[in-house]
Amino acid sequence: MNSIGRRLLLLVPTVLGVLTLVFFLVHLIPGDPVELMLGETASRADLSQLRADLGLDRPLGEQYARFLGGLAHGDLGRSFFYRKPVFAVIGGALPATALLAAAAMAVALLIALPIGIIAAVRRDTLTDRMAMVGSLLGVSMPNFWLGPLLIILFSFRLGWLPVSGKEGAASLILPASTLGTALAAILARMTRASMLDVLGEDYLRTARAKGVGPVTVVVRHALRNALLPVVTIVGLQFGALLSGAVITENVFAWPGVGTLLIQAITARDYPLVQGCVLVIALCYVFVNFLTDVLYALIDPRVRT
Amino acid sequence: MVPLVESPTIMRPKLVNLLAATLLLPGALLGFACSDNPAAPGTLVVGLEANPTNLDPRLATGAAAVRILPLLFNSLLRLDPAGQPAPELALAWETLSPTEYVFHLRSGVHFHDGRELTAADVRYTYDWMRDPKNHSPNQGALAVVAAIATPDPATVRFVLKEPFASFLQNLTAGIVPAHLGDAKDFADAPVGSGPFRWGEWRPGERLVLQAFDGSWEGRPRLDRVVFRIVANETTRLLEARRGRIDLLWNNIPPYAVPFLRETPGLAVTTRPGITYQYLGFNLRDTILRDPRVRQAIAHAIDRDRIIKALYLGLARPAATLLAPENWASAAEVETYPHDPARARRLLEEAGFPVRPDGTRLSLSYKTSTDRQGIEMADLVAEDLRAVGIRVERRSFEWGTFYGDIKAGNFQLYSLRWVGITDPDQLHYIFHSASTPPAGANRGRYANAEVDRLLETSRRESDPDARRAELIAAQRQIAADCVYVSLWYPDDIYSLAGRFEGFEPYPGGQYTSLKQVRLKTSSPLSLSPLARRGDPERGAPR
Repeated sequence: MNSIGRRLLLLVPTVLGVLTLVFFLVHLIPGDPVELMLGETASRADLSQLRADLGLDRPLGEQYARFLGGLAHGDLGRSFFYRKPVFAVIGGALPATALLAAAAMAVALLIALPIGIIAAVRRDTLTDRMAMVGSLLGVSMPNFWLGPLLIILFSFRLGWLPVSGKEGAASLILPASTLGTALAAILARMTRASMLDVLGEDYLRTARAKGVGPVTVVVRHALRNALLPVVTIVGLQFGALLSGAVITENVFAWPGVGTLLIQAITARDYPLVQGCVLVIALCYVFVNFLTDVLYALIDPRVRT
Repeated sequence: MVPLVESPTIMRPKLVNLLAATLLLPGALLGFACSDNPAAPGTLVVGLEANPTNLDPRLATGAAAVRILPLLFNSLLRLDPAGQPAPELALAWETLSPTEYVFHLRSGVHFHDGRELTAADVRYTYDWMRDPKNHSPNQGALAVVAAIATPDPATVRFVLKEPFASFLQNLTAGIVPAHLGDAKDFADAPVGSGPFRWGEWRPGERLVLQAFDGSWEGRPRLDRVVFRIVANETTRLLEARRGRIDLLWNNIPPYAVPFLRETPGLAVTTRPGITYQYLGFNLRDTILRDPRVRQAIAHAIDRDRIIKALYLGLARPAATLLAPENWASAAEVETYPHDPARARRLLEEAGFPVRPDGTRLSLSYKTSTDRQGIEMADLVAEDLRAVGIRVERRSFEWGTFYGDIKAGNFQLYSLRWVGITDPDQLHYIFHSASTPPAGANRGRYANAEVDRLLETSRRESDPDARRAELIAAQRQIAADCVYVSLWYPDDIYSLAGRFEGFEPYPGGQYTSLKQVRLKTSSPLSLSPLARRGDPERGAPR
């Protein structure tokens, strides 16, 4: 069996593990969705009736088995509060999160690659040091602090961009920058380190000796190889990007899965929490799988 | 995961393509996201802190939904700004006996789809909510109803199982059309008879309501109301300051009032509110079941100081659950003024002398993760420390906190009762049979005399006699120091200066948006930022 098939098979226990953990965690936290749904005026009889209708009166093991059974049929159940299928509720929010994550990734790469390359080429100069201090700052700033700061500067003082919401291209810039900054900082450092490794290689010395110009050496010969480890980091950091999206969506009133997840946890909407976590876990696992596949495609030595 | 492999292999074009695609994807996706410009003349934007999860009036529970519903639906009766039942769909009503009510419906009321509203729709809505299989949150409040009849299309008769003085207060649920109410997707685009009809709903983002031309109250002056969901408090305030949210109501913290008042073109109004903030005791706790300890705590708290520090003075000290404006509020109750010396004396009498570490006793105080709640807990703890009570403040995520409070798993906690206008709530909160989940007697208070007064007040048809019973009950509750009555925070709202006519309802409802209108001199009152051509607003107007 080839490595791609093997990795694909490994996804199943990973996702199943995540779901099991989430199922038991959400059921163990105190708080009763039935009481939250029916309000405080509900009688004991009404409460137990609804609990029975939702299957919440069954032993936890049985509920888990039913949850897995539903999942096998592609059914995540109905959201307690929206009173709609979980897939439909999440389906409405997923495109917004995908857009935000993709834009943040783009922002991160647009910032990280030039800075990483310049820092490597001008190693140990003032430019290099400034770039590295800047990237340290980028990693250190939490989203819930950076977001409002960017809003105050660009929306409030300068009036260039909308404060929040999802109303066109301009409204994507601040949340994507907030979410992408930390990743940009990590990638810039990674690009620099990787470039430094590659710049010392023999084939580059040969290229220079053959009279290839400095820009061509860096961009065409060095960067291509230096990017390999960066791709791995992009995949690994995707998880951090998704968790950062939860906070960024809150700050910028961005209607994505993160916003939905917070709401579902507060309301003890078990099926919706499980659905959101499933989607986030699947995205994470899938992107990492893609990274592995991509790597195998790029480097034949990993295929065996 | 793959280990880092240094490779001299020249990268294949595929990687470059992928990189390019990553960079271009957001741009491509933006293509369809750009077409969105919500504002037009006559549009008012409201900032909401939470998603209205379900806008079917038979099922709605969250505050956000409940406050919006009066715009979409009409109810048999509505509560006026003073909280009293007033005619809406029912033009008049008769009380044939303490258990029989007849309502005469207004004629010429149409649903948004053009069908006429009749008594059959009223009966359908109430029967639906009473049916246990539908799990309506209103089912409990309607348990007293024995039968509903519709002798003719303009008359509805309710027969009760027993007399219930507050019955009229429970007839404010929106009426749903019988011909559409059973549709599975009714809540996706609800049809009512209210002044606004369904426009667009993007969960977590915005709800748009359009003026209903055929409203029996006349077409609203506003063309559209946009409810924008902005969960983050800082962001919401900045949006209002920037002129992109016209109305904030129910969600302005007192500290932000000076900040919003600096905004040109925005009017911030404060007025006495009826929300009641209290400190709750667990009366089954071995320490707190002694009334002297509870009274000592009440005397130790300096309410004026906390009101000044936390609310910038925007609150009134409270003495009882019902605000002074309520017809059944008790004026002369025990108020426990700030008196640390007396608090110490009471603790001494209760058998809590000063211990070697300088304290007399220790208590835990539970609160949610709400910032204001935590700050308040710290200020209260400071006052209690001054009389020798060490307080351990423990804050929990809302669902956990609320679950603990209902389970009686606490010593001290603080919460607020919002928009209480119906004095029957006293039964729900203080009657010994109202311990959760049957009611909200979370402190497990039991006093036979209070139980008796609250029970008879429910059956009393003479308003004066009922008022006397309710006042007597409140006096006893205050004397027993079941709660420390803290304060009634002011209602605060900010409205863009180009609008007028907004009236805050005690329950936080947006009902009065149907009468809000643009001032005639509107372009001059636009905020400078909005005048510059904000993308949300389009051109200045």
